[in-house]
Amino acid sequence: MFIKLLRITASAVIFASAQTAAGADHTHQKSDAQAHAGYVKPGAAVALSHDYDGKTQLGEFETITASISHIYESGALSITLLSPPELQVSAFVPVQNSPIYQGSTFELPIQFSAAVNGAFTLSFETVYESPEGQQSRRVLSIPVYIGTTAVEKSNSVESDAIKTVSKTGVIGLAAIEVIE
Amino acid sequence: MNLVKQSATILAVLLFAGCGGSADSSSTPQNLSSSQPTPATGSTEITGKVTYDRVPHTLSSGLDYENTIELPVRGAVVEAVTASGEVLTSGVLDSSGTYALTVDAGTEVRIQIKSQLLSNATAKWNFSVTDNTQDNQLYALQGSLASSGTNSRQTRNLHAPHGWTGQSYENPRAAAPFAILDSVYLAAQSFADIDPNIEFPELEIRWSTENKTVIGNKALGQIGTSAYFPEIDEGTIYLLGEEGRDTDEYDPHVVLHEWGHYFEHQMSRTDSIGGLHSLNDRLDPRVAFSEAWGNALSAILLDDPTYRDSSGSNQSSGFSFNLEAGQYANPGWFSEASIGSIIYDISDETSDGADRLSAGLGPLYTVMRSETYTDGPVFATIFALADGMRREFPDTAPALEALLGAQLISGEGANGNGESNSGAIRSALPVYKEVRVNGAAAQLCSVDDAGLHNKLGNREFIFLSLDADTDVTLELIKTSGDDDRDPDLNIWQGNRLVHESRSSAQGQEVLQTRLSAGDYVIEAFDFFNINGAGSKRGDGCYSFTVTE
Repeated sequence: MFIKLLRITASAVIFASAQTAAGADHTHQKSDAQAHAGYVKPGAAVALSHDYDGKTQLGEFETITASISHIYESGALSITLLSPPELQVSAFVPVQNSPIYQGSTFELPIQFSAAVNGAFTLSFETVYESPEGQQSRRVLSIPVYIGTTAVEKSNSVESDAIKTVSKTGVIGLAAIEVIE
Repeated sequence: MNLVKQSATILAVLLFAGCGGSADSSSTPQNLSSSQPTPATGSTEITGKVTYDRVPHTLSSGLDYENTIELPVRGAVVEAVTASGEVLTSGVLDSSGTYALTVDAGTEVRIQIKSQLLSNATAKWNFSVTDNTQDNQLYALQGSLASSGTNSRQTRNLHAPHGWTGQSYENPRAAAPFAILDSVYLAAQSFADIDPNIEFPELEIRWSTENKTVIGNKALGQIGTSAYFPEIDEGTIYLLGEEGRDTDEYDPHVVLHEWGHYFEHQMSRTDSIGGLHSLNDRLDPRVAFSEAWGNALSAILLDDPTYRDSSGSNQSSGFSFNLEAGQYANPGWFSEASIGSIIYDISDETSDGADRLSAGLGPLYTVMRSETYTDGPVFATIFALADGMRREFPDTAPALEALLGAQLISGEGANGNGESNSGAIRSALPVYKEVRVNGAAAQLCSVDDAGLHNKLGNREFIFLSLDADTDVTLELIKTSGDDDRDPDLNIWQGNRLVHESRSSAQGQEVLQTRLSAGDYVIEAFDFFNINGAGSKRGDGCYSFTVTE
């Protein structure tokens, strides 16, 4: 049954130093802005955190807040939402060329629902523009699980299971072949 | 022609003929010969050329499918396999993507090309593209199962298409692993041209159409972003592949940037702590150098100073930056943009601005492979590279000084002695402070002016030299800053971390330990400026002593 979706009228707001949890004690927990381990490719220096609990029922209207932080001292940030056709996003206000300063964070309310089970991603395409006009981009995503089919899920670095099993075969890719 | 080039032009040769290999990826070719075998009576030589779709960029750095070109698959493992996957013979594609495999006449065989670059010649390498969402298996471009016929020769040409049908990847993305491999082939061959005896440590590049910009379980494709992870299987590259969000197989600058991290980690030296970075940042000099190296290396290898990275819906958007632009904020020894332009200018043929140097990649390779650089007591930064260039290639010194000067870098020696550009962070100079056992205290600070974690001023470097094994007490005592200040320290010998001292004591850090004779760099920092999320970030200064 199609249900008319409630529209949230909130807009993106910048909060200074809104992320505080990891700084509460000497836990060696890294901040969101440093959540990317390893030597990451160049791009907008932004990071994502959110309050999604990792499960949404079929037809449920899920409201979450995504928080996008950055490491810049100045410039402007634009944020657009990329969502798959299976997810109906009923509320999201994109950020257009919003000025930023050191420690500022974008809090982005999003409401979505889905009529099909599955695992999907809500992605944020971020574009940073420096005061000199230099642009860089980065895509950040939230895994979204609808219904009961998507049981294998994880959005924590700690649960990362690196598979290093021995290779037993190959993944075939069909070639266009001409035999003479 | 050097040995590597000779080996690369050798056509694939008969291997394992009739020996019953397997489809196991460990069945790597052996006994590469320098001459083609003459097909025996009753055998068929199957020859052919293997190509893949290379999708270029538009001027806005999106992917330009309309102008796709076919390029040879170079250096990849080619096999003749049976219906059951038994490998009858194998070899390596030459630099034109051609091969020749000999099998018995009338045999039902399939030609497959593994996503693996292999060289057992004088220069040695084993690079592979695997799928982290499918048990890290190799990809294989596969032809049809068909009889080798009754003639002595048969031709089978194979092509890997990109799979894009105008609005989506409705067809398999067969070209993707080979596009990645071809970027790596360029890198391997370029270094082999410089050092014909080079031996690369094995490297796996994990790519999947499922590799997303979600941080989580990499086996599910949640890789976060394309990156080199030094701690995973002794160093592994993961690349994005999610359609409509961010794919990197046709972004050779991205592939080679990450390969550059592999090179410095496994073939040279890196002291980078990683993390997010940008061209305008005032970075920890180790991070600035490492990222600049990745940027510059990709530009040097591709002979294209414009770094491009596609992303977004239909892969139609993206961004770029030009290493030759020289228009970035905060130039200096802590700037990824400054150092990238210097490294690129050392190598490139173009003379522009302050650039009068066209030394190629060779000198950079020589310096970064030298023991003085890899085993030196101070970190890998632009100062260490410049010092190596002055030492190994003194004729380039005047031109090098001009490049450095244009980016406001004046420090000398591997430790940047005398550097005058503080990046507006007073405590950032000198680059290395110095303490002696029972000597005067060094005055240190950890500040957050340029940001957190991997930014200039977060950490201080202090040089300590011991003539003999010594029981020492290292003591950081706060001299200014609020009550949250929590100093910590690391002790490095070369790029080996020998001690970490991370107590949560406020305002001080004390470490008692025994250090063997030698040179050390002590890295001092405030915990909340390198970890935490920022609520307790702040400036703090400390008095640092080493006593016996």
